[in-house]
Amino acid sequence: MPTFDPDRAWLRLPVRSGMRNRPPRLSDDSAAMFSELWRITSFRLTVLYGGLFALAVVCLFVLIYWQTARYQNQQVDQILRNQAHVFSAATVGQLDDDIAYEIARDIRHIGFFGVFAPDGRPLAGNLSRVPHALALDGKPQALPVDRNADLFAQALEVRALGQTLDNGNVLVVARDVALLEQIRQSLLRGCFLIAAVILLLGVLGGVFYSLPAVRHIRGIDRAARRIADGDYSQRLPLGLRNRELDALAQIVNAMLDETERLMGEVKTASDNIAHDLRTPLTRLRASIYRTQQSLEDSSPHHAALDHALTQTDLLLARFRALSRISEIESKRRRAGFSPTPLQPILRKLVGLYEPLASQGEVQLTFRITSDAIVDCDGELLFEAIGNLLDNAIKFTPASGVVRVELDADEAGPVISIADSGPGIPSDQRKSVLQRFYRADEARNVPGSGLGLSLVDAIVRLHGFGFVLDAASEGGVRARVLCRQQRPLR
Amino acid sequence: MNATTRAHSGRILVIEDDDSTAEEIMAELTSHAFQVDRAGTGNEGLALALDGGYDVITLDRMLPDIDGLSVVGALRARRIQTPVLMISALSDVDERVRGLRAGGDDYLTKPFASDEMAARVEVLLRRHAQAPEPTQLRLRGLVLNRVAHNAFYGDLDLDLKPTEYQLLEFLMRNSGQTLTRTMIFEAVWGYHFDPGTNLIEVHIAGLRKKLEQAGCPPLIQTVRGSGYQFGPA
Repeated sequence: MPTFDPDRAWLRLPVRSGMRNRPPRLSDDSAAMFSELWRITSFRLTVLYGGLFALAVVCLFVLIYWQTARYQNQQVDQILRNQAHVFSAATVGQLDDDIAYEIARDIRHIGFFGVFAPDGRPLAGNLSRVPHALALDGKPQALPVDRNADLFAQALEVRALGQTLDNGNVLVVARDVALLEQIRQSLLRGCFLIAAVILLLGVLGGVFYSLPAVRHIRGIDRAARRIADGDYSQRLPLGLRNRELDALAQIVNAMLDETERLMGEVKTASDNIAHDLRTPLTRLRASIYRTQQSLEDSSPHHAALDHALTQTDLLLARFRALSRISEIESKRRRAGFSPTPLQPILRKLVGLYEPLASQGEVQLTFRITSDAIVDCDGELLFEAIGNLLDNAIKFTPASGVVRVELDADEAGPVISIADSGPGIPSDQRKSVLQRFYRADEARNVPGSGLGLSLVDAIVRLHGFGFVLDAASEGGVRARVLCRQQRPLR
Repeated sequence: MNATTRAHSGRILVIEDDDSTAEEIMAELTSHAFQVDRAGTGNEGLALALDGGYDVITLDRMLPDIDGLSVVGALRARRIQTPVLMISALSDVDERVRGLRAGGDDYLTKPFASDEMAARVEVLLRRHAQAPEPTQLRLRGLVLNRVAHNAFYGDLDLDLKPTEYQLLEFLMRNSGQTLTRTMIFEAVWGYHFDPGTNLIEVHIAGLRKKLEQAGCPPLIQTVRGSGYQFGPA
């Protein structure tokens, strides 16, 4: 949010803020859209809730799985215990039959049975040996399948019970619990699927809910930038859904109403002051002038009256310049704009200032590498560049150089005026645009300190760039970046 | 040279609603030996102007009844070509363009220096009387060829640059009249802003030097507090 920029006020009192701290511009390309979305609270909240919900679903599934597995194990264990109980109670003869019966009954081939002699020899059942790592304590337990691969070829998970019978033989009952594994896998699949769907819905919902907010913020951004550029008639747009933003925008708009009103008042007052002072000053000048006219040519008072006239003219010129700056700054229209070739303007300017340069023994050079046509107010641009040239010549000592160049870079034509004068220290380059600001080095050079303010105002009106930096000759290089080039037709 | 001593036969109509401004204009023009009438409203001014007989009209842009632009428009529509100096508090360049487009011949922004106003009136008067303009201007041995765009003093070519030629032409065409720096700047360069005192001065100095080198007597006079004038010292 650009802060209120007091330097747009008519008289820039007391000091115009130096660097303009601009927030990074919101990008227009869609690639940057996501990072922009991410800055929207509602989007972040929606995605966060989606993520949390997906996590909860995963937890729920884990719980269901865990419970199911426990129940399944209990069931299996009960079966194993029952079978072991039946078998251990049976007589030797009966046992063979019972086991054969159980095997025959087990159509899914998930049951395993074995009776072994104390030396490990198999006596009955479908197991060829006692499984490894089976404790013969009569308690159901999970069997490591990998160590008993020869016994349970197809099985994924096996629970088994081993116990020593009264006659010293060893009874083993085991059961394949592959079903459990299947349940686990389908549970996991379902779990991830649902979590993904929830996350996706969360993101989509977030986008859907936040896009208007992004658009709204972009609208605010655009309006705020125009306001920062001095168009105080702009207001922040109101959205449809975002009540918090709207509330803020309304507050800011109310502030802008007040600012615009105050600035209007200040401007009217200042314009009136400038105008009201100009009128009596003009009359004062007229009476000095008339007094002088009535004197004899030999009168000794001429010098004093000349001086008075010069000073009055200077004052008048300053008031005119002030009014002119405020007039240009308040200009919203671009009525005087038309596609204008820059080259003739610059040629004319060089011709206009050439005698001034040679009077100061300054070499004025002119180089053109572009025949650009720019949408501009030719008269105002002439005035702005004229001011820059005037400054350059004024501040360049004898046998110095002033270089005028018209180039073009990819952004548009660039008018550059460089001199070999004393230059402007980098910390003062912004301040020199202030009205009435005069660099320390410029104190003994005549001038009003309004020239660069006028240039700045004109450049802003055009939306051009204005850069002051150091010239290779050691002085100032002033560049006007005309960024609105139109193709030659 | 004292402006008040020169005799004019011009009749000027001042259309201005503000009394103090009107008085100021009338005092200045009277001191330049013009015969001055005043109209306080647009309708009155229009009626007087239509009766004819005026050589120049100064016209306030904003009048209580009808707009200054409409007054000049009505005059031109009736084929009355009396030169009009528009005087306005609106300094905007667009306003100037609008005023000139409506049929005004020159445009002056309030507040103005009254000598500048008088100088502009004189130039308008001269321009109007002078048409059709001759292709050659001869003054005191100085010959300006307006077709070839060159100037000679005797047989000697002054070898003027285009700007110097335009400057000399403007001065010679209005010889004997005071021309302010702003007027010179507007006429020669075609721009309407404050050129600063120095700028026109160095151009005049350059032109004077060329004249002097050709052996020409000093013909460009500085008018104290106002500007320049072409003519004998």
